[in-house]
Amino acid sequence: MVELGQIALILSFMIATYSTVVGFAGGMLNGRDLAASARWGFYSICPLLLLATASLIYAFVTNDFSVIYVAENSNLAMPKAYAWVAFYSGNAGSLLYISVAFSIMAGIAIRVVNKKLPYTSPYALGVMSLVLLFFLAVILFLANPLDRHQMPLEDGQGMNPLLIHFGMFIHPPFQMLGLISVALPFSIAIGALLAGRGGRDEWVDQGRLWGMLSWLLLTTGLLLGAWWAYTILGWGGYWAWDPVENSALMPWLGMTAFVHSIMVQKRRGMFRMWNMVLIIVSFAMAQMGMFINRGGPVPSVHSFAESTMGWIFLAVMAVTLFISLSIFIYRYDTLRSRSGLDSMISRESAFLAQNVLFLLIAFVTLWGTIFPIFSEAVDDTTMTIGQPFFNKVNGPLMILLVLLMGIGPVLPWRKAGWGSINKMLRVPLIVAFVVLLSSLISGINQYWVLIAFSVCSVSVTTVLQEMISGTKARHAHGEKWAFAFFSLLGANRPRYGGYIVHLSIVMLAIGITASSFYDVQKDVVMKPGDSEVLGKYTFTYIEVSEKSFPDRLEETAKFEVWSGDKYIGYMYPYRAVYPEFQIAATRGAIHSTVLEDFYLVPSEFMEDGEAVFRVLINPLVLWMWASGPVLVLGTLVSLSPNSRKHRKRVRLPSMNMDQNPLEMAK
Amino acid sequence: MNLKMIGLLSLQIVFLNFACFASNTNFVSNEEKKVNTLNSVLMCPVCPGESIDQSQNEIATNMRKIVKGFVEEGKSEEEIKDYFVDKYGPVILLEPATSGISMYAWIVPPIALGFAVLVVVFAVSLMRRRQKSAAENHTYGLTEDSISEEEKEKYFSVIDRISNE
Repeated sequence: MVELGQIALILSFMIATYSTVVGFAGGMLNGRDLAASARWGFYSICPLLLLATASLIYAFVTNDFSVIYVAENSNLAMPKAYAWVAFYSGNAGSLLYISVAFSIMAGIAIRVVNKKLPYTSPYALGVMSLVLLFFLAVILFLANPLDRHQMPLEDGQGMNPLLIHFGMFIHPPFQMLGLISVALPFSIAIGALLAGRGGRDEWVDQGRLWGMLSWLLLTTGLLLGAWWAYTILGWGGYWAWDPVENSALMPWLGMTAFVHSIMVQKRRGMFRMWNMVLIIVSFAMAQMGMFINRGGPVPSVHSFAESTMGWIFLAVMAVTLFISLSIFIYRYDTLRSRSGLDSMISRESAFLAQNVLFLLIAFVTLWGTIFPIFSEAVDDTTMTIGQPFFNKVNGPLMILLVLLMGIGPVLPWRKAGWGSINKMLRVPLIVAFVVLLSSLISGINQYWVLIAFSVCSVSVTTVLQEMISGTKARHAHGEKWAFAFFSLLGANRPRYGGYIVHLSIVMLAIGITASSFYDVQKDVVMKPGDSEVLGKYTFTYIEVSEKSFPDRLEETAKFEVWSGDKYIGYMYPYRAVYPEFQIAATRGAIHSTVLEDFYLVPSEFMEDGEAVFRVLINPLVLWMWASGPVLVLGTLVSLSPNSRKHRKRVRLPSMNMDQNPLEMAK
Repeated sequence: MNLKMIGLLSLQIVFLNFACFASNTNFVSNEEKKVNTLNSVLMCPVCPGESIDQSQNEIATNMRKIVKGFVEEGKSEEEIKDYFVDKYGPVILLEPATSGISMYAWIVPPIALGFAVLVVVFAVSLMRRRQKSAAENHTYGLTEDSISEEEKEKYFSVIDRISNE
């Protein structure tokens, strides 16, 4: 079975080489047959890689410890369902996972792209094949998960215990999928650049579609990661500005900027160069993420323990950046904007400011992340920069972003008169003021929180205002309220979908603000039978039960918890010690309400029966997790195609007015 | 207007509800707050990048105890930080100091901000100029003045409305 997988890998490597060469040739020689051949070649890679994956998972399920990767990442004690997690939990396997996932996504993408973008498609295919080729080359020559030992082992080393958690079934796959999916809009954009004038605006719709899907995957991955950290890492937080978290955040920031600014090109034919730069930079940041993740020089909890692999990713990132920018400069003349800026105050300039802010945050994050390398090089000390720095620098910038999120969407395109600004922002500003006052009255005294809440309220109000006034206008034409509301959403899905996403971001922002400024944390030492009080919560430590497993010792504490006079019930925080790994995995017990989480986690069980518990009250955390589904919904609404029947066709055809008809005919 | 008032009121209520947690701050003593702050700025020496607040490692547990002891003795934040810096070097601090090499960590972001602002201003004025010269070159029989600003705004708002629908 494993040998079959090896053959599949080698075959897919050969086909990817073919698709790359023939894809580009098809584009340059304008050969339809060549392009089609490359495309069908690319489609055939997917089943081959699925076969390789199946053979690896089969090796996990059958405990075939003669395979090095299986021996390193699982053991007999591992539950069989975790074969899926083990598959991507190590370096080599995760590369295979990325390849197979990319081959599926890119296959679908290229199918769609081929129908819509005649000029761009062969080149885009070439770039996608090249990306896949790189991963397959790394797998085959550097880290093959299917390689065998000379001597088969009795039992494997087992998986890192921190990965034994339900969240691991979804967070890493989403995160890796997100990082690699940035390659899709990137390929389409580079394809359009290579295609020259024909590709100039042709790629916008498809670039937006795949860019948003990639953004959605990245966002989901980040949120799931935060949730996993919150429930299992046992320190009561969800984001630590760890280098790998940062490296996943950077491409997210880049892609967020991209999905916004691509709208300006779609609607106004502007920002053509800027969008190219953004997508190139985003892809570079995604590669940077993989570099840091794969044994880069920055210390992190997430790293795969590999040392040389990362540098290959870094080198490839540099080469990619160099080549893409060269193509960009070579095709510079095709990227002139259709029009300039009519006014300093307009939706366009708000988009620009927002884009630059996103990149600024990405830059600061990058700077903090690679600072250890910098200080090492300059001063011979590895200074790690942690949470306080990022919070202080990025926090205010993010508040500024939320403010722009409130103002930007109500500015008209082209030119905003003061009259219309006044009209649109009057109510939001009043609401913000009222919120500020009411927050003050209710005792919030941290000025960052006051600012953040007021700014959030501006964003919420502008969105609601737009929705309400639109619904009212439709209602006035005789539509029923609910119908009016939904048909409003349906009429301009990119816009109202975006608004829904904005609301979810506000939920996220409120959750983050409240839980970082008003969390309460206390370490308590308790014996069974002791009771303690924190805020309105009274909790009694009843007993601890120990359970021994071949690989770990689990200690589960039992608590009885009251919230005021209300009986909540038992809570069971636990801690598992894995002697082989010298790791303790804790799992907090969480009682969530809309207002706050009551969080209990053991930090230490001592010999004499006493135990140290960390008790936290984290306000509004539930809002952060709730923002996830809202965000997905908004994105999907925004992406769903408008049905033609109900639409007035007013948009110009996507081909450009200043396109040379002779060239188009070629 | 009615709808707006309702929306306004409900928003307020939501935010007032959110604000209830502000009273949370009184649940723990100032000493405990101090311990928590210190724990979150001290790095666990063997688990790179993680604070001792976060880490489950034994060393972190011990360091937390030391911090707690010091705070109970009445030592100031600076004294406690200095103690750990003497022991492990400035590396132990997660928040970069404002002196020495760490200073650069703080200097670069504002410079980047300034640079970003310059870029935006430059780009916007460039695009403005291009628009103006384009308008001069292609008047299509219309001069700039033949249509007033108000009329223009009306016209564009109509276009906006149509294209937004």
